[in-house]
Amino acid sequence: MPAKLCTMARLSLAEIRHKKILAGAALLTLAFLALFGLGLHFLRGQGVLDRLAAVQLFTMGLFLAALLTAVLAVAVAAGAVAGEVETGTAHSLLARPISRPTFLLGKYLGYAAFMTLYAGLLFAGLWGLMAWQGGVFLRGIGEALGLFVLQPLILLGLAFLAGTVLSTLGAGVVVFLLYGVSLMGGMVEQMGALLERAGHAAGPTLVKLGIVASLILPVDALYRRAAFSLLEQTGNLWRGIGAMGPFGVASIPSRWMVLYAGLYLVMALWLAVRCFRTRDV
Amino acid sequence: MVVETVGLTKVYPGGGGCRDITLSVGEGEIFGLLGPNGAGKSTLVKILVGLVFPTGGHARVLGRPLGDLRAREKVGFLPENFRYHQWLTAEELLRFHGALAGMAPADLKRRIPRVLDLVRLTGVEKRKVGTFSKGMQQRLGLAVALLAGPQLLFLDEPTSALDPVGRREVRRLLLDLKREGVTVFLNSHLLSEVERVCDRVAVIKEGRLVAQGGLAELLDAGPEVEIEVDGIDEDLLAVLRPLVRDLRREGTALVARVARRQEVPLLARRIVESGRSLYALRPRRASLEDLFVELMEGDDTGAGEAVYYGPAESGRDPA
Repeated sequence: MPAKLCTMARLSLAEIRHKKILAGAALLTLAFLALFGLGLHFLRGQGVLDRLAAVQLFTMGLFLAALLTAVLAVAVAAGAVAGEVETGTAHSLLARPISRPTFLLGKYLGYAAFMTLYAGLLFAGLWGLMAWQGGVFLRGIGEALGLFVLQPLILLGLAFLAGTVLSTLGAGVVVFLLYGVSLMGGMVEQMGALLERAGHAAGPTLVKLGIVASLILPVDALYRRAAFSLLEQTGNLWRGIGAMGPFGVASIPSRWMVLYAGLYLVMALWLAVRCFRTRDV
Repeated sequence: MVVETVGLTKVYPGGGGCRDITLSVGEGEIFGLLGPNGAGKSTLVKILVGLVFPTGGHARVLGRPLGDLRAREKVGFLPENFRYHQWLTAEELLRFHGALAGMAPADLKRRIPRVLDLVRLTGVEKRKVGTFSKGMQQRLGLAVALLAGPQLLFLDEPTSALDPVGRREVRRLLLDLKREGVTVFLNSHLLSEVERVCDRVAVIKEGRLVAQGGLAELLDAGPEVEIEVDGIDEDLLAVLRPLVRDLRREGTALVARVARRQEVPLLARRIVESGRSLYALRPRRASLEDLFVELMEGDDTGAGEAVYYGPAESGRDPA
């Protein structure tokens, strides 16, 4: 990796380390995991109701973990570019012999490394608690982990893109709103899939609406696919119960959607570089 | 030329910016850019260091086009809004900038104490930038700009946060840099500062260049000359008035305000041709402040040609 890209990534990591939000996020994450573990602890029985509740708790936990990761990604990254320009710290940096793409992508790599670590640890925490307190060893964790980590990376890319044309606040608001669209789209799609199975006429339309929302921002689709990957490989019972509820996976996003999500990230970064290359600072 | 601009223009969507700036800065000189607040000085500097993209014209910095990374390796820059990452220590900030400038660790180890000493910040290397006073942060900004041993230094209001002693130290530093062959592009509204250190200046008003030239030529050119002549009467005044902007008596002498230095010999010739004895014709050395105020108060709104003084190194004929 070019030296200046590494230098910018290191600066970003140091920048995150000094953010006050980090300590709060760490404490709240621990509290979240503790509650999740306690919930599993009291559902350790072998009855069907216990199993049903444990699966629902897991999908809800995974969903909320994705939400926490998304919130943190947008909160730390909304000002990564816009903030540097607004405060003027970018002035002395961009006058150095460093290209705009190196500046932007270096910063992105630093934030991406942090979010990968955070999302990875959170995912590992959920998985570990399921094994320790729930007594269930979830399978398919490789694919699920990759999909889970890809969510914040996409949001980071989008926040960087928004930050090249908007203020810190504007970038944060836009990305959060888009995330809201993605979540709502995901829930509409799940509801549509359940209705479709029940023979309701509105089902297919709702599923299509959800897919359109996923095309706008494919983050929720990644969560559904990650959850599906874990539940499917763990067993039929898990898959069956996991299909229920608003956080469940009744409509399974296709592998094409995963590919689209990857391309979406590349596209967001490409556009961010393109916008930032010609931006006055 | 170290800096050359031809018709350089930046027009922001809401107006403002700078227009049709043609200037040149020679190697090893201290060039001052003057102008009131909002005249477009910082925009011009930002264009030259690659922060802002021009909407017209072109420029070369250290012989290379704008934005060229190889040229930037030899450029130092202190922004007007000198903000640095508050959570870094002074040393960490310098190391980070050194790494971006492509400096080797061994060079950094040698240069960091040197530049901190130059700006009188030795001993605070381990302190966080956020704990520095505004003046200290500006000094640190100077250290950052000097770190990589630049050939060309852009300083945008480098003493705005400094006390009089600090300002004097910066002036001394600039003169030392000039002796080492460093070219300095100094953007300032502190006229006395510019007058004391600059070799050449340009004056910008409402985004347009209204004067440019050697400081000595600008100031020696008048705009006033004191005339000692016998037989001052209405006939003589009638002869001289068409040649000057203003004419008044001061004791036994006449004081004429001429438009430009080239008109002084014509003035002398007309006096002699009128049959009077011309005893003395002395240019009055104006201060830069006089010149600045005259240019700012003039009815020239910047729409016309800039006035060029001194040798034709700017590539333009004297107006």
